[in-house]
Amino acid sequence: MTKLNIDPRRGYGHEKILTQITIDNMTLRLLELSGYTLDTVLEKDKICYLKSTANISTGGTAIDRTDEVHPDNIFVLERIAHIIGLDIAGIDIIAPDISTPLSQNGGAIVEVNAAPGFRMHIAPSQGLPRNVAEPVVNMLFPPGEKFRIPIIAVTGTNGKTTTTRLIAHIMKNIGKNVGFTTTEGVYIGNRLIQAGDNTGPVSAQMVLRDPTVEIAVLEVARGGLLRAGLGFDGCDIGIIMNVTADHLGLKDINSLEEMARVKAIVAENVFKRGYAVLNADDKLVLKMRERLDCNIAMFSMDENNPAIAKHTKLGGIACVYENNFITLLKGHWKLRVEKVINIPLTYSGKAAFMIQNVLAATLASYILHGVRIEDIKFGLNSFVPSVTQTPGRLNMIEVGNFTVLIDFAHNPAGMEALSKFVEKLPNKVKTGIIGGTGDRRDEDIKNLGKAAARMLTNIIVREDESLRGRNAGEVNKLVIEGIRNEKPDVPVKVIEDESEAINFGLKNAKKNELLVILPDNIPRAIEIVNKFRDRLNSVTIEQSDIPNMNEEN
Amino acid sequence: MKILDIRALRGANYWSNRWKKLIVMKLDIEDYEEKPSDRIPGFNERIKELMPTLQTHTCSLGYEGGFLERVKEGTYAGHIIEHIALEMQTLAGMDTGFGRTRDSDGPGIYNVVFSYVEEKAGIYTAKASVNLYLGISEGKSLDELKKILDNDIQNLREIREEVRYGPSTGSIIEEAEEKGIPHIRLNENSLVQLGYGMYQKTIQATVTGRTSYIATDIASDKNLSKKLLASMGIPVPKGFKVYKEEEIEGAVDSIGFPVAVKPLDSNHGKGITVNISSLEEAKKAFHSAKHYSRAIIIEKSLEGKDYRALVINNKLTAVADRTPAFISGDGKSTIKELIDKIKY
Repeated sequence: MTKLNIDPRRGYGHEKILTQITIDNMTLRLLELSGYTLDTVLEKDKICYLKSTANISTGGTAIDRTDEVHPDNIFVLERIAHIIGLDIAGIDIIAPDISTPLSQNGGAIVEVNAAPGFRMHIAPSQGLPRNVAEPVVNMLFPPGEKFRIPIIAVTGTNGKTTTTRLIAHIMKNIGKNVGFTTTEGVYIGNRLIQAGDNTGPVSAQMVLRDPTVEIAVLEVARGGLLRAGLGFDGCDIGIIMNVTADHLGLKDINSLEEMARVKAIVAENVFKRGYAVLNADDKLVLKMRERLDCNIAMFSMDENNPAIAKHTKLGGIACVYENNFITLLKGHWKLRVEKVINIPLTYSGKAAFMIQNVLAATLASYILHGVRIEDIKFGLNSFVPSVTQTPGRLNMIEVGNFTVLIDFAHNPAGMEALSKFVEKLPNKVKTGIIGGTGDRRDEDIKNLGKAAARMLTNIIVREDESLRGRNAGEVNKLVIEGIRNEKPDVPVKVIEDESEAINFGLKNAKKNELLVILPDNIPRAIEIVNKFRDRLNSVTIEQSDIPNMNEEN
Repeated sequence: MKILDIRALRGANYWSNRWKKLIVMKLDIEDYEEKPSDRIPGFNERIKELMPTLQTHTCSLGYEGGFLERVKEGTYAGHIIEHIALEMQTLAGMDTGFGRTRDSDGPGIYNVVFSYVEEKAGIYTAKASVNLYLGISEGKSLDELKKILDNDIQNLREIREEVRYGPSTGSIIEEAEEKGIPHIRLNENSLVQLGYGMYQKTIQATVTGRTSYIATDIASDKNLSKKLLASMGIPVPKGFKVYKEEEIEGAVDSIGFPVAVKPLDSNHGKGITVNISSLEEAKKAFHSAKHYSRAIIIEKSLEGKDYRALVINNKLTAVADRTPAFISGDGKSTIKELIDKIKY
């Protein structure tokens, strides 16, 4: 027999197959029992055991004997696992030979272990290595059984949150337990699990780790992608809404093309059998097609968009706005889902940018196996832009004799879309409460002021709570500069504190005025407006207001 | 030179879809912007001497020695640090192979991106690579540099052993990955979720979410499991459960030598003595087993080989014949010397 000493497989920790041998109490006791000490000179070829057990972790060696086990013994060993009830059992046997029946060779079962180590089987010192991990995985996930839930990921500059919520809403309506993440929080079904901006990998995992979730709809934002990468290993549907100027100049992303590469991560991580859902009206999004090997579906506000025409001609799936309908295209077939006028989210079609969100959500729901057109239609009909269903996304609230509009628009494209909607509203006086975000480029902040000036007749400029690296008043100066460039004579008032600005706007609003609030803190803005409204219209019900109620009762 | 930021990416990212585990280190190389490697005297020779295995890095040239050729011709700090980082991890047993260096917000500022195997080791490597680069550039002696590098490699191996999955868990994860099953590590040890959402299953090393608590309880009570097996006609060594030293003699008389003494509940063979052939030895063994359990088992010590059978989902999957660590004499060396030779 050779010494183990020079065995090159002995290494550091689990680095190599074997472990280095340490002298411990067990070793000293064994030596003592044999009448040896560490200083004894061992006779030639005399064997001295250093451990009383053969565990590999204490320097033992293992020889694979799997193919030599006598069938009687196989029966006994499997019966033992049944009797003890362990799904993974390590059974210790002492016997002269495993290839003859234990009942005849005097062998016996010494013990049964839960949590047995695999190392001696995966990497025996001699004999065939055995892949014992495979039966474990096959036991947990029998071949053919599912191990993933559908994942729908949504990214883009604008419209992510509303699209995410709309898809979640449609899925909830067909009885699925949906886990979804948005900039407002993580939700399981209708429950908010964690409030705050939850568009990064940690939030995605909170949904994927939830044992009750049947479908995941995940809003994926730039911040988390750049900070830690994608929070899941692939998705079934990846939606790219658009790529427009926002967050440029942050974290090494300086151009729209670079930003498009960030957003494309979602599309590029759609499983091969899955679908990337692309906005065909956005050149940068459309260009992502070139690098994708999954299926592609497209949406467009224009049925005649050449990319859509080409795509459907080849049998592709698309969703378009045509003749006032949300319509699915599948090859040469048209499936009209719903008239836009019946979809509350679009304000009878006045909010064109919301139609895009509807198109994307409709398309994704349609692609997902098991969702019927009726289900989508019902979902679109019942999803109402409100402070509960879409907080901070086009919330119109009647407050006494004037109207408040709360929206999260905070970048040029978002402002542009919002202003198109606001322009269509009939109110003569349109007051806005706006503010720029400190970490955006100067030109982006100025453009925000410009867009605001176009749609508003009065402007109150407030400041964000976090200046994000700017000096106090610096952002406001840029916003006002933008306003002045567009409309030199529009009245501008500066109230730095957001709560104060909103309260001022509410108190001074005239009959039929539209008060547009673009808040820094959405929940707080909603709360202020709701409080003001409660004080204003306390509800009193007279007996005569109650139908069918007789005076005698 | 200043490290401005170190980030660990864990999923598909801006730099790569395939390489999900990347370190992104933002570096201000300051005056090294004026000093590519060909302008630092001896840099080329010293880095080659210190890390000869850099020879395998093809870099953009696409052939062995490509990277060292670029060092000779002159390349920048960020790029060299990227290659040091990759090689340092390889030397510590964590072979990985993606690297990029791109300029960032202005002159001298770079993003050095390289892949890692273990996140904690990756972050250590980022700092250690900058430090080693500075050592080479600032003219530290080769001996000094070798010492720094060896120390870093040893630290990295220790970090790796501390954070990575053990062989059992690792094998299950690897198998799951092969089948496309996603996994999420739930603690620093071996608690892992396989699958997502409602289809998830949990493992902790080789215990699964469906491992029965009662079964585990029975198995950990060696006396009870033997009793249950014996009553079902399965051969087990004769034995007794004892609590006091006084009980040993009676037990041994009934069983007959040789006997084995073991704690009722222990693992990894702790506190076990086998092949005992005298009452005195039995008593000694009893006391050392007492460290691990209140109740002690004395049973017949059987002649034969020590086999371990692995039964998964009630199917016999593998059997190994195990031998404890041993030495064999050469008639000249002491036992201590023979054991010492085992270590290198």
